[in-house]
Amino acid sequence: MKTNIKPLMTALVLAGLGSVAQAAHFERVDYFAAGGYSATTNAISVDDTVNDTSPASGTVSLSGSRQLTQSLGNGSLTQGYSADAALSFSTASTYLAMTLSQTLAANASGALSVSSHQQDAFLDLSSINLKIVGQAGEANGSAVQVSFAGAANALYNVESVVSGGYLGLGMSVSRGNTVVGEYFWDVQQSGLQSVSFNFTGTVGEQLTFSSFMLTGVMLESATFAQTNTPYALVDAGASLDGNFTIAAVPEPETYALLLAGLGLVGAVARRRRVSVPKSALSGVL
Amino acid sequence: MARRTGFFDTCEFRKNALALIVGMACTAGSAAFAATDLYISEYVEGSSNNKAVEFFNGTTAPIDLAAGGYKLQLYFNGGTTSSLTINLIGTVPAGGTFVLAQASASAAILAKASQTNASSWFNGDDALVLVKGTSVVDSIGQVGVDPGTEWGALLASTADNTLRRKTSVTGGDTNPFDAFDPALEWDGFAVDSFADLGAYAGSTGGGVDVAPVVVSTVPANAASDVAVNASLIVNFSEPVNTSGGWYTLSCSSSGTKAALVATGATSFTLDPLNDFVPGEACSLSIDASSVTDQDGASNAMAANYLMTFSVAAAATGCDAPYTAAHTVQGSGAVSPLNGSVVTTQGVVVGDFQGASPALRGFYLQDMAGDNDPATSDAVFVFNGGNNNVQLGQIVRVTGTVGEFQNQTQVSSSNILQCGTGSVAPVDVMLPMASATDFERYEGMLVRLPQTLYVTEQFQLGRFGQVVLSADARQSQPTNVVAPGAAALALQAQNDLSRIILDDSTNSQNPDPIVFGGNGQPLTATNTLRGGDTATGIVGVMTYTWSGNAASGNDWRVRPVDALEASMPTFTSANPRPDVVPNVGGTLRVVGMNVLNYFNTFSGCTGGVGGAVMDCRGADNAAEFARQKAKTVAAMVTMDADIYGLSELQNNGYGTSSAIRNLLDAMNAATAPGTYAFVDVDARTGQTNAMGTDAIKVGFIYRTTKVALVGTTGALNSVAFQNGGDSAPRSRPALAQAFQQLGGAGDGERFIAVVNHLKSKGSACDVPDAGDGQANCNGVRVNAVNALRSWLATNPTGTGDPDVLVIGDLNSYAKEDPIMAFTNNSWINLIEAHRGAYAYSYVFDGQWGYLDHALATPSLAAQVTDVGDWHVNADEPSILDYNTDFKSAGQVSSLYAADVYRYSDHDPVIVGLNLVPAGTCTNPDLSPVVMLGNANSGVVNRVIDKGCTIDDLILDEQVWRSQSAFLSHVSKVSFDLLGKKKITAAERSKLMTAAQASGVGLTAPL
Repeated sequence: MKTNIKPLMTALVLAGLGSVAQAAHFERVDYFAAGGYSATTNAISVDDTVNDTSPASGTVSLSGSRQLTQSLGNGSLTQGYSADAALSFSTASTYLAMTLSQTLAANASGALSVSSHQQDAFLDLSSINLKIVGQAGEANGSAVQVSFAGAANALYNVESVVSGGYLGLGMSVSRGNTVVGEYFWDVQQSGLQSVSFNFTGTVGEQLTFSSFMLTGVMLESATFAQTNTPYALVDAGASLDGNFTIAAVPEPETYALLLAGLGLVGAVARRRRVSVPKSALSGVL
Repeated sequence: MARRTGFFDTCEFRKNALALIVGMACTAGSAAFAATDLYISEYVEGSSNNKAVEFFNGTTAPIDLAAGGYKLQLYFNGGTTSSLTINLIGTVPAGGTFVLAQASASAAILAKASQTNASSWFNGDDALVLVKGTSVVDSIGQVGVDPGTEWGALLASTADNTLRRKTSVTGGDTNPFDAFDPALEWDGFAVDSFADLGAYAGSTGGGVDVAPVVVSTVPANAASDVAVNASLIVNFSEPVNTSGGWYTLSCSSSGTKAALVATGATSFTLDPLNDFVPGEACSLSIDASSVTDQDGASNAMAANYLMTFSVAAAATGCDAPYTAAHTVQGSGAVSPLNGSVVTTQGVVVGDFQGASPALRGFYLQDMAGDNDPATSDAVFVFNGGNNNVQLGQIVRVTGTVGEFQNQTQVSSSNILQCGTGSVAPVDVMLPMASATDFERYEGMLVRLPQTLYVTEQFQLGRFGQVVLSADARQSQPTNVVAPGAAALALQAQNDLSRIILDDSTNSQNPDPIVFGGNGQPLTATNTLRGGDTATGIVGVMTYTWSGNAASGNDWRVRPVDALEASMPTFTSANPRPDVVPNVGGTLRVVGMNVLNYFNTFSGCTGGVGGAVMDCRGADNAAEFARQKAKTVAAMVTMDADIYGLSELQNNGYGTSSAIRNLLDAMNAATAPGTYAFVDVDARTGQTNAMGTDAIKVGFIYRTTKVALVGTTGALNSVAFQNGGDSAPRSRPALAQAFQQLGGAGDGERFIAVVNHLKSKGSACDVPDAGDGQANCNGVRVNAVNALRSWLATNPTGTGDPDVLVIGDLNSYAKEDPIMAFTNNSWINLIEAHRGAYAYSYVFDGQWGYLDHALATPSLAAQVTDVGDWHVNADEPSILDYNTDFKSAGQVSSLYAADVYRYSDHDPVIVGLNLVPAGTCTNPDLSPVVMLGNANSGVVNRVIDKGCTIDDLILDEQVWRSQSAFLSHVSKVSFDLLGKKKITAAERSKLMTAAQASGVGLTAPL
């Protein structure tokens, strides 16, 4: 399905900490992942589930889409969603790419009345258990630095007749119950964010990766006049992508240098968050 | 010829002792032991003059006593000379006996006597000597010795006993002077044992084949007062054959009589084909040549036998025959003797004589009965206005049998009193096998041994009657089972499981009303409530009416004025409630019927300026004052925040309106301004928004606790009021949104809707379907559907999802109108909180609820409890405010200005604990969040508005697809993560478990 997100994605420049040598990589152990769509219009329901096209090992891959036009008195409603997710592994990095979008449009030949409509879509890499596998002589138990760097992009065009709209996305890495890296965005309007976090890991250990996107809208006792036809009510979606890289922990002096640099970046970021509304953050990159 | 069995025993003994001699003797038969002379074989020293001596001829030849000079000498009290000598006269056949009896002995002895003597005889300490000429041949006792009282001991003694010679004895004790011990030669028997007299077991003739004789007859020779239908029994001394006209039975009036002969070996019974005629003399002769013995040579009787007797004179008066009550009743519904004149007799078990409203007669029960469970043993005697018999008298009634109102009766033309008597009551159990089952007890004294329940006392005041049921009070069928076959089956079962307990008359509006508590008459404070019990009631089973078709012919047990009955004492199994049901919550809402609260008594109209209609309430100011006091007492006691009222007079909201009158009384009883009413006309801008019926519904509310919000909705459409009928049926419904003021639920809102749908009483266009839902079911269904549709249009403008429907829906719990709610997600709060057998109303002795509380699911979750306050339905209707049909004394004694019977319906009380939407009042408290059967590993905890994570997941809900469920969990976990209520790791686990659970994978049908 055509969305307005892909053009935005093409503009993304992905930044990684390429200067640090790769000491280890992730391997997929097992996973739970799902995605789907459910909608109800005047008590008539439609549901869809994304396809899991993941091979037996390595990449986790999901995709699905659905578009539906329902005739109502004096017109029709056209709804749909599209979802794609992939987590692919190489010794150089582990690459995440997810998109989820939904649309809703009215086509009225007269006064079109919709007593109720709700549609929800989600895409969820719920739990992907990963193992840190050493390379270049890194033995089990060696400390490594795991970093994620990427970007999130959101489009949220929702007409005022729509109620209950939402769009959210996020990701996390957990060691057991402890969250070691995390990103979360409750989207209120369109925008672009960079995504980065890092944490210290150990060669040989298992971690749980999770990422998700969800969006939905609702109509209650809505009436559309012919003059607006065709009427795009909802065009919403998000993308998230980026790379995990795993580097050896720097020697103490290198680490101290690095730490000083990070601190500087952090201070700048904090100051900007305080002074700049979230909607303006796209200017950061 | 019979042989005495003792011989063989003796013979066996002697074989052992003297083998040779005895062996020969026994081989030769008992002839070796034949006696050589007469001896005494039985001695009777009984009560009074019951004295006799039996002599036995053990020889082979007859003995002529007189020719032989035989005599019996008596030596009194140790005398040495004989005080009495009786010369014996007669012939003793070989092997036969001869009985000498005191002339005043009993008939049984005399029947067997061959000779009597009227002198004073022995009494136990007197010696007897049988002599032949001058030789002693036998003796009893010791001449010259007075033993004091008797010789011997216990049964084997000479005083107050019968002694029979042991069969081993073959001759007399010829020494009268030696010591005497009866036990040696005699067997003792109790005093007055005459049965064996004349038939000595040893009368075997010592092996001689002797001729048969008649040893006894029944009746005995010379008997009198023989019954007209008696049979005769002839006992011979041994098995005989008879031939031809062996007997002749001849009577003075009825002549020679033929008889059926039942032939035994020794005993022959003659049953005359025709009864004897009272008072006649009869004789029975037996022709000697026609009777021969069966053993040995055929010996005919030696001589003809003749006995005479006289038949009892004709019975008169109380002794005469009569037709028993059970014969009058027969086993069917109608007497087999219907129309006949009969004379019957029995004991008076129920005395209901006197002029109407008494029953004008009495019940007469046969003393013996026929032990036939299919027929009653009693009958009603119609005695006009007479009052001339008493309980317990035995009376003989002559009259014509008839059926009056399906009860068998004898219309008395003559009554004869015959003493007194009694009968025991027969136990009668419910249920009846059929409606006519108790025909078999009609008129009888009965006992009801089961614990029976007061199931209806609606007519207690009018007819003095109570309906009792077995097992429990009876449910209105459609309150507990589905209309149609199930309801009709339960109705049939109910009909057979009840009986009326009635007073002794058919008077209406009796004073006193005898059935109250504690065996005392009914008063306002001595009530008889539904569900009270009584056990073991005794009374007469009558099939009568109450004197009016409103309580027609039926089985009624009447304990008053019944034999050996007493006033039933009821157990207060269902006492008056001490307190109002505590339903909890922060708001208390009441739905109540105010029993046509009309403050005008003439010229009433249907709405302001409407058509003239009946004033349905109090007849006058005095009655209204009584009604008002009860109504206000109930409302004040319930202390509710909102009262949804039905049966208010429909006369507007002005200063003289009924609702204003009630409101003013409430504020007077509490404090000024405490309560206000909803002025529907003012708030809707309509006139008569609540319709143009004589009555309407309304709200009174506590101003400090709730405020009116939104618009007031009056559903007065034709579709609702007519319910598809041609005329208005249901009263308009009223919807009002309330907002709570202060307290835990401050600011929370809900919508109350009060109703009064068309009753079951009068018919609608579509007739009663006969399925148990009575008249106008379709009208009520249509009204409910119109009401639900209307409520969906947001008539209050508040959009609040919390809606409570209360009022009189005139539909029991399982009826279609209620299903039209519950099948559309409404919750029947009374069923949910009070169970299947809740009730607020009784009709025809069957309990159920017409007064409902139905809630939307969101409100149902905020209901703390629901109660029916049983101050009305359980109480006799006669305790209400009305003064008509009451004596001056009852106007006072049956009224109290209390809450009881302020209406015929019990009020419904609903407790509300209003909370913000989405609040969980009953959270899922499992320790970890479970999604279906999948353990997420996430610690479950209260997250928001009292709800736990598990509550929010809604995994118990039916999901149409897994995508829908996962989408929901995704949204919930996203929201919680955004609020930092859970961690990203927990979100991951919840989503993982949601997929693992499979919830939603199996789509609902």
